Amino acid sequence: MSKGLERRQFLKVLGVGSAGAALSGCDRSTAEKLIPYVVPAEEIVPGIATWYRTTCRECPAGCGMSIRTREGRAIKAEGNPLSPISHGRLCARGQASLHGLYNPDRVPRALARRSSGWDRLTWDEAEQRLLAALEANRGRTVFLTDSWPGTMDRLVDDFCAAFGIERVRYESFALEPVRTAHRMLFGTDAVPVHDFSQADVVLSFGADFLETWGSPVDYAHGWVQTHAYHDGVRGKLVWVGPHQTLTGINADQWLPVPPGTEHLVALAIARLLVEQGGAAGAAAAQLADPAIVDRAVTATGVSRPTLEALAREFGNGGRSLAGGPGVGATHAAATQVALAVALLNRVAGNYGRTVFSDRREEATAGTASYAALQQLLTRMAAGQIGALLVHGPNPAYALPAAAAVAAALDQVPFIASFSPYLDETTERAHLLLPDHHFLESWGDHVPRTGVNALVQPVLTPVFETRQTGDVLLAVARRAGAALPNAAATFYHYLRGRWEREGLLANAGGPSFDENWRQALQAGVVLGSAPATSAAVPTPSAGELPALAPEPVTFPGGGGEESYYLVVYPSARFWDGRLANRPWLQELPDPVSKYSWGSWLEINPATAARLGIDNGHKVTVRTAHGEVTLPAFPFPGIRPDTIAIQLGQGHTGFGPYAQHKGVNALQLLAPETEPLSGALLHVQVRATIEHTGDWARPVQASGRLDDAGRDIAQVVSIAGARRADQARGFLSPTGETTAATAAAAPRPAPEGAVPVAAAAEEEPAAHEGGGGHEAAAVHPNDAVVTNLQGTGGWAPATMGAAPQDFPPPGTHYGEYSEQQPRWAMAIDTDRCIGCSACMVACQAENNIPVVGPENVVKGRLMQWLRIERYWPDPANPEQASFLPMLCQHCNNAPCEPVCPVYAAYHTPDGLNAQVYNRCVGTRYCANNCPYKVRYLNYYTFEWPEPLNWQLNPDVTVREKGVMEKCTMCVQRIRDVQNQARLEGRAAMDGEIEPACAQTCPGDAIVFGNAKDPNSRLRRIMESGRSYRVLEPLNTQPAITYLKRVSLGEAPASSSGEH
Amino acid sequence: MAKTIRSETHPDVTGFAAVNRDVLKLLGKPGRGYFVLLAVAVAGVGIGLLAWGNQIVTGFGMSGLGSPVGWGVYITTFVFWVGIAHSGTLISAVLYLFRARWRQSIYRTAEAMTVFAVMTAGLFPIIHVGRPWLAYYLLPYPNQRGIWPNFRSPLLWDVFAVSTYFTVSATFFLLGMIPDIAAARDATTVPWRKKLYTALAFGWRGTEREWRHFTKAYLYLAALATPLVLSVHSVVSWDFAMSIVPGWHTTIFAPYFVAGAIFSGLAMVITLVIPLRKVFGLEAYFTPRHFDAMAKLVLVTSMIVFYAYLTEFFMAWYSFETPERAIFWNRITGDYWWATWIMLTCNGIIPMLLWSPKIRRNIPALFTITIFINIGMWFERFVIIVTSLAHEYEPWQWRNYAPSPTELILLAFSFCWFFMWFLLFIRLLPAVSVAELKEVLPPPLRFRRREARPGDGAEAPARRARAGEE
Repeated sequence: MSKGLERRQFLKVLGVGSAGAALSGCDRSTAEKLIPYVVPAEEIVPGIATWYRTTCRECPAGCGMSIRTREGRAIKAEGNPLSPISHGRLCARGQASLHGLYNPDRVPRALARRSSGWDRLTWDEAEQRLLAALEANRGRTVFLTDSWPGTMDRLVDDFCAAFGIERVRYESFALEPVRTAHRMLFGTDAVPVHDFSQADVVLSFGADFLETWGSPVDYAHGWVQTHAYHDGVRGKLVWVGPHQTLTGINADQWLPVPPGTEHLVALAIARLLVEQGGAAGAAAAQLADPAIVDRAVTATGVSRPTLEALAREFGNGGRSLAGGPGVGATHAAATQVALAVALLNRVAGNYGRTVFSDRREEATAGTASYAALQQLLTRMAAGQIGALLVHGPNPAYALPAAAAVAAALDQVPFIASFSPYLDETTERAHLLLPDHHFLESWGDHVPRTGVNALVQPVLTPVFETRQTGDVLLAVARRAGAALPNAAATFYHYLRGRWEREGLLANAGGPSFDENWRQALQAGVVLGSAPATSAAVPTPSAGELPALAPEPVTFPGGGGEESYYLVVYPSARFWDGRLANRPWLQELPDPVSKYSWGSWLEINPATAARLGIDNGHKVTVRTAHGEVTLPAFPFPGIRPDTIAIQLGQGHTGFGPYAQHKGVNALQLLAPETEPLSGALLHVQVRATIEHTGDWARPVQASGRLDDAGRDIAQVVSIAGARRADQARGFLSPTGETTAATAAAAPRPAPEGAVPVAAAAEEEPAAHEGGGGHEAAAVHPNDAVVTNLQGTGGWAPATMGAAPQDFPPPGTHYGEYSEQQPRWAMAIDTDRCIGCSACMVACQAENNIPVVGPENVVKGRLMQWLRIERYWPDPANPEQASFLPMLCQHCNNAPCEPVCPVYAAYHTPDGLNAQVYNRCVGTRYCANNCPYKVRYLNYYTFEWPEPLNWQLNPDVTVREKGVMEKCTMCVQRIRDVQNQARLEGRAAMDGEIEPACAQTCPGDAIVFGNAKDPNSRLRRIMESGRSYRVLEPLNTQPAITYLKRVSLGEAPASSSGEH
Repeated sequence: MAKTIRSETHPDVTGFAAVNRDVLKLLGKPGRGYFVLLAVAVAGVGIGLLAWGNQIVTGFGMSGLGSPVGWGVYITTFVFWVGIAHSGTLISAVLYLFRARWRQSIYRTAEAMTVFAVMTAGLFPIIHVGRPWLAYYLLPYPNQRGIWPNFRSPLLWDVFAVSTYFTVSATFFLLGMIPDIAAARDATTVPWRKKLYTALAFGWRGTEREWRHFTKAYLYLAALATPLVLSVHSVVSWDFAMSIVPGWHTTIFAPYFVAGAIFSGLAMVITLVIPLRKVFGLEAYFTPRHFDAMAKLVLVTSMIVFYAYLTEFFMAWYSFETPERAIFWNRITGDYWWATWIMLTCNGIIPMLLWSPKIRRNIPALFTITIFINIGMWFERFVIIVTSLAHEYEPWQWRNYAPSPTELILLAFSFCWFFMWFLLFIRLLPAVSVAELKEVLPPPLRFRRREARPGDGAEAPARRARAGEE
């Protein structure tokens, strides 16, 4: 080969030649615009992710976010670990924010209404038109915005002042009753900050703090820390209300009181607390009447001993917390409930310990009530409004139909909408000025007192949209109006304000520029926390409003055939503003497990009486409207109550949201609560009619219990303690041993210990290791032992723990003891069922959205699912949640049956699926007892630009290919490669699969099971550990920890032995 | 005049010449009815191919499958046709070795049925996989992908079992037909038939040497094919038995499936032969005696199968395993109760009528019963596959399955495809063995010492029979 053309030369010539050929084929005019990616932008390294910190604006809570970008595209949202709101976690909504960013139904540019359709406008023209309309309607213009704490709020106020615009700030779930109560008591119109991590006993009067109430990620995170079993103890949650939401089914005790009686319960408990020796203080007058308790007992049916027991538990010296009401408990006495709850907290001494009246959830503070919006509508209908600017609220959807919003909007000659999406209100607008998505914007946010969060763009805008701040500044400039502190762009305006107001004064950097840079890196700036102690303003007796301890009466229906109608917020869609996110639509609701539609929650006894089964279509009627939807018999609701979730039933808002389910607000009248002006979500009684139709429900699973299969196991707290003592985690006196302390909360990644440096001492002696001894209590085991005793047959080798991989006899080739064994532990006592992990998994692993027609056929692709079981559906207490994903079995049944080795075991213990090899026989899925393998029944597509979100580290699969959880193998390899470059081993805690990363309850722990010092290993050795379907000898790598019940565990569950 | 000697098995066949005449008559010009039937079958095949093409292009979602039921109508149909294929080998090979003297007239039809049933069955695994264009990954051949199939997978065993079975039964079928084709070659005057038969007759002249080799080869092939009767369906049953799916994971599956296969295959032979006999006036060749013998076999296998059903239920109860018990309880009382009861009725109860000799010899009754058995055996596979998968270990993933239109079209396609080949067969190849029939007929004594003439096909049955006994 020394003579002539060498191979390399040949290839070079070939390459150059074909490139030349390709170039000459190009159209010259477009070729001029091509810019080679020779010198990329400084921070972009192809193949390396860049992270940006920003703040989530999907709901008012304002969680800190870290956005992973690759080659200039945002591909994954995670929590910002520095944020006190998100603690590095996100909820399902935050995880799905990328589907808002890349939503194909976004308004791509400025548009103006034509008789039919829309005219494209340049932003110059659009601003001109807006200015013209504002000038024409000076004094008759209203700017309707959502909550906007921070710099934008100032700009909008200044803008409104300059143009004579009236501003209305409206948030749909702003908890007006709670704010009103606190205004009455403490003079501050805001929801106080709650610290669930300090509350051993939580009484929730309809406050769904794990989903929508206040700051859900922070509250869930804090609540799990205390509530979940740890060190031999566990907290308690009591849910008071007619219907259980996700928070409700997490409760240890449910007081199923009729709607409109929650305040009676709160007052009764407060009164009993005083009787038991609590200091009534300023509330003495309200609690003076001893008949309060009897009245509560009569109205609610809760027995006096129950209330007394609750009062005793609640009066635990300030380690308790009462919250409520939530949006779904807003009835005509909602403010009474909020006041009673505040009194209860006061009597129990919780203010300053778990509830902070001087620290506010700023996001909803001071927003207008629903009543104010209603007044605005009246004025619009009367033709008093000349121009309406809308940014945020979607009144055409989110208000009861009876409010005649559409008619009112029709009376407004000029409507400009800044919404990025074509929602129902925007459809009626004359001028569309689409704002950037928050991931493309500059801004800031004040989630709560003392927390300043920055919003920064993480990518160049996807569409030709323009940030509303910039539009307002430009319009003002065009009009020659001098806004205070005006700047060229909103970015400069924002920076100017932060500099001017010294928001970074504590940062300690040499210059503002440096501080600003650091603040952007951190994403959040914590001010000095206000003193949280006795300095709580104490209301005097005279200031306390009189409480009316009477149950609310509900109009409508009457007789046995009418039911209290509860309309409650959605954990997935908030008030409906997130209903166009395909991930959220497909995500099964945490309680009903329905996706892509609505359902009617109804008690199984009521349903049986009416002959209604799961999936039967029923018509719900009130005086104000009717809807038809499938029924979901569900034990967490009173027999005289029915419930419908909000958020669905859009008439516009793009194809993902349109005509999915029903809008429950159509059943309500625009009635407000007298004290707070909140919309009544529980206001009428409804009748239901069985249509006789049945369709297979669009539901992940209709199961309520685990059919005695011991899949979701429960142990009593006494049993958990005994088991931990037996393993040396807990001393016999109940004190924590060092071993538990090490396993307790999540260690910071900084504190991680290299695996190599570990391997010194084995803590405590655990025979066999792992929690597999739990298998000995399988109901069949007695029979098996009997048979063995009579010499029937030899016992099979069972229960090999994850760390025993590779099994003896497979020590050849790549398999060796030196490899790690990746495994996972899932504490079901820490799982709240919020399903954030499911969306995180879907985002990380390019899992397609299959649509309702495929969900019905059992083709959901989510690799991780949350199974929700009641130990005894007839007697609902706390539900169990079981995150079910590929178990990466040592002895995986899927592997031997694959004819082409598509399913095989990696040397580090993962059960891998080689997509390229897969021919789609589905034998592996049949043979998987956990049913966690999913076939691509079609080549699912991501409509442009949703495909921008795809993770470049993960293959996109085509039709006919089987897939399943990989334990985020791309993240494992990423960390391993990085560690190898740095000449070290991967550290414990360094690798976090997407599900574990986002879990607000810290329920999922990933690690190397062979490392005896890993956090994972300590948790696996807990006395509560078990593995699902262990008798099958699949030897799963996922160890579950049993849920702990405060009572005795149900007989069906194996716990104590 | 000497007393006419009648055949014991075919008393109404008058002699060798009648055999030639009656059988080769089938190879004449078909009537209009035949073409109508063939057109229907071909149209069904065409529609089926379109549906399959659509499934390949659009995606496997065109089926009704989903989690947890990953196997449905396609695998049911596959197992059904593999089962049908069984009796061919049984009748031609096993009964040949055992010298069952009633097999001669039916074995050709049964063999043809076997070959076509395997051809039908073989399509279904390919129809069934998610990426049929990669189905060749299952074949072990050295390749640049570095992929070697997984020999632990029962699906791979299936590939070998079914392809072996097809190869052997096709060889057996074509080889056994050589003397008959030679006879047809000599009888026909149609040029293209002449060409076809000349090719397939492999130059058969009917010499003694040829007969000697032929009978030996036939004997050895029969011996080779016999184990396949047991192995193929055992292997197919291991697709299920080797898994851990409750309702599948059981040791009785191999004998149970083999018995079921013979049961269904015999039923299908009867179903096919009865119209054939009627239409072509072959009553003299397929006598009630034949049907009686086959019906007895059907009865025996039916009882084996029914016993296996009962054993399954008993073992489920006796195993004390919750999932196993739940599966079987769900089978008879759950959402698929109707399928289970169709299976039990058609396969276990209706065949009990065959205890009556009258019914065994009553052709219309037999035809009806075998139709029921065919339906019942299809449902047996459906019940085993679908009810087990729908109700496994994980209650969260319990979900029923309903076949999609595509799946039903392809089920119909399987019958059209089979009958297309069968219809072509009866008009192109001798559907009844000319040579072997003559073995059981009394030799025409007048020509006892006649010299063999090449191409007469009818000359040496006595010798052949002797050769076979050596």
